[in-house]
Amino acid sequence: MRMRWNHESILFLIILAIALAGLFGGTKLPLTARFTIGSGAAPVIYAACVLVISAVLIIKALRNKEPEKLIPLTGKKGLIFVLLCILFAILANFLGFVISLFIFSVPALVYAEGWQFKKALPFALIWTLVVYWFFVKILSVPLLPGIFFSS
Amino acid sequence: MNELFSSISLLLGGFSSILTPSLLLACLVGAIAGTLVGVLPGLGPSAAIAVLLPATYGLDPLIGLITLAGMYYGAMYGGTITSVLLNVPGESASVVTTFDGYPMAKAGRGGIALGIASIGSFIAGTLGLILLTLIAIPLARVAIKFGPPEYFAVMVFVFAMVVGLNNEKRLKASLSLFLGLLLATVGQDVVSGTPRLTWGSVTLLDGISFLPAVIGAFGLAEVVQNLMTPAEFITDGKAKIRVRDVFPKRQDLKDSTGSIVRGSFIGFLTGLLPGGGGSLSSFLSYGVEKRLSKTPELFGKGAIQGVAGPESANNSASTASFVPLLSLGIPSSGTSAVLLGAFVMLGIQPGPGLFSENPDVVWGLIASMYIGNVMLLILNTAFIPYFIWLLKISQRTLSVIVATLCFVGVYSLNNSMFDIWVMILFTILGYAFKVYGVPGTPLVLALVLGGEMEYSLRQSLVMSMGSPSVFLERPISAVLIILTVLVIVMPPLLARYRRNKSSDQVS
Repeated sequence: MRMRWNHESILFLIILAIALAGLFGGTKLPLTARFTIGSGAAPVIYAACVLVISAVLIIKALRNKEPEKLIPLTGKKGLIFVLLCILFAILANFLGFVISLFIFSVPALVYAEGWQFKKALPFALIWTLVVYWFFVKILSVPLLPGIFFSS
Repeated sequence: MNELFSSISLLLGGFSSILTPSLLLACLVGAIAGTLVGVLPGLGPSAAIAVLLPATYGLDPLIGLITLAGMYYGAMYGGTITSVLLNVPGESASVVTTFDGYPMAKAGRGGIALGIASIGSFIAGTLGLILLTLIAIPLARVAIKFGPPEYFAVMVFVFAMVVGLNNEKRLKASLSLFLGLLLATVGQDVVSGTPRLTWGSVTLLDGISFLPAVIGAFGLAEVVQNLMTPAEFITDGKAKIRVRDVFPKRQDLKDSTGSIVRGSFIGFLTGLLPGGGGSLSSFLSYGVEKRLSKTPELFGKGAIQGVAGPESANNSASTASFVPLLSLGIPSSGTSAVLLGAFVMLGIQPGPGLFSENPDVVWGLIASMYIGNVMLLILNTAFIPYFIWLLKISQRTLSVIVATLCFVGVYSLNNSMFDIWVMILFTILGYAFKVYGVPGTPLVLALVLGGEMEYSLRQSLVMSMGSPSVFLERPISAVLIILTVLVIVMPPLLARYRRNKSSDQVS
């Protein structure tokens, strides 16, 4: 029977890889202790279960003759949104939480939500200021200051 | 009888303690936020509670818990509005409401559908609370005798139920469960102190916090899904509702009374079961109503019983899920797992000791739920037009607002950017799970309970000098283990029996 790799089987393959890592890490730890199981037993048992189930699901996904349920990338909005979240996480360490939030919000509004740039800019600015005022000033949450505001 | 009077007097004490402006305001804020969460299709109650949890830091625990609990049961009310008017369920428990609610709206009876749903939700919520008041203390009394073997058996039973109730997706639910259990082992081993699966990372010594995981898998993943496949809203004017349209007529009330009462009890019983929750209860109630109806052909075309039963059931189920959470400290659904996290973060440990150690908190919380139900009845009849307006204006800002709250909420848990990365990874995983039909709830429950379950197992084995028979020697754990085996073994056997029977009939 001809089998073809698809998105679903790749998802389960990634999970299988996590299980292999868990199995490898778990077997390095003691599996037994006095009267009880050791610290490595649970990771090994769980990883073995994940390994077997994901292997079965990979085979099922490969044998599936129905049209593949592709992750819809045609609109790309969700993908852009995830990439912007990653960009935020990278920038926050350098530019600080608030500036990075502003940088995240403008393209998120424009590309993910379809706003015009000239409307997105003031909204993002107001939103960022509201977040700063509420969380930093009112709730005293110590958000990352970034290189410009660190003392 | 003494226990009944003691529960009632403690409940009255709870009422007297929460009748303060700050606690009533917390209840109102929770109810409004919950309704909004229910109305907005991009945000479920579990994610919303997780996202707003950091906003309760530094507050009195009772204020925080009243607000977060209000969001949970409030979401069950709010989900109806978009289901009926826009054919878009605000949260999963309201999917069934679209079957008859939307046809009612198309026929110009949307207001009646919303009115009867609110009344049903109020009656079911209140009946559920009465049952919660009556059984919480007796259950906690039993649970106080639980040792590690019983706790281990309860948790194994919870996992078996959560997987077993995913009929068509048992294998995928098992994968989700074991992946969650595996991830829960990351970090320092509580017994020996050995680092496990940390790969030399100091950050991973504390393990994978479940809140970033939940916020990613349930919150941001839902936003991504909405951006990928946006909900199509109707704009033909049917969504316009005036306050006077919401009040049902006498005949509507007469037609719905039985459905509301049945839905309340079905919801309560399913809500007690691990993995039961709102969606299962509403589907069950719909099935029962259709079967009992003299006019089943009207279901799907605007039968009022098809709205009244399921809406009552999902509200009652959300109330019932507080029973195992408060009495045993065991969450039965993804949302109650997040609530358990909220309890712990606010310095309250749910479980059998809660009723004796923090009676003011627990009875104040239960009393607030009675008051919250009244507030929600008023909000969901008199303020529906405003929620629709809020839904319309928030549509194109939701992703940014939710993402911001997720970023701030997750970061402020430990002031750590690592948690933000965990959240983003779980967002991607959660979205992939949604696309390929892998249930996320087992993963979250496993992340919450995995460590505790392993600890109970190790303690039990030490108690019995290494003999696993300890689980069968103690009556409660033995019964739970037998039930677990039945939950795992029976469904495939029954399916096989049915297949054989049907093939015999064909031949």
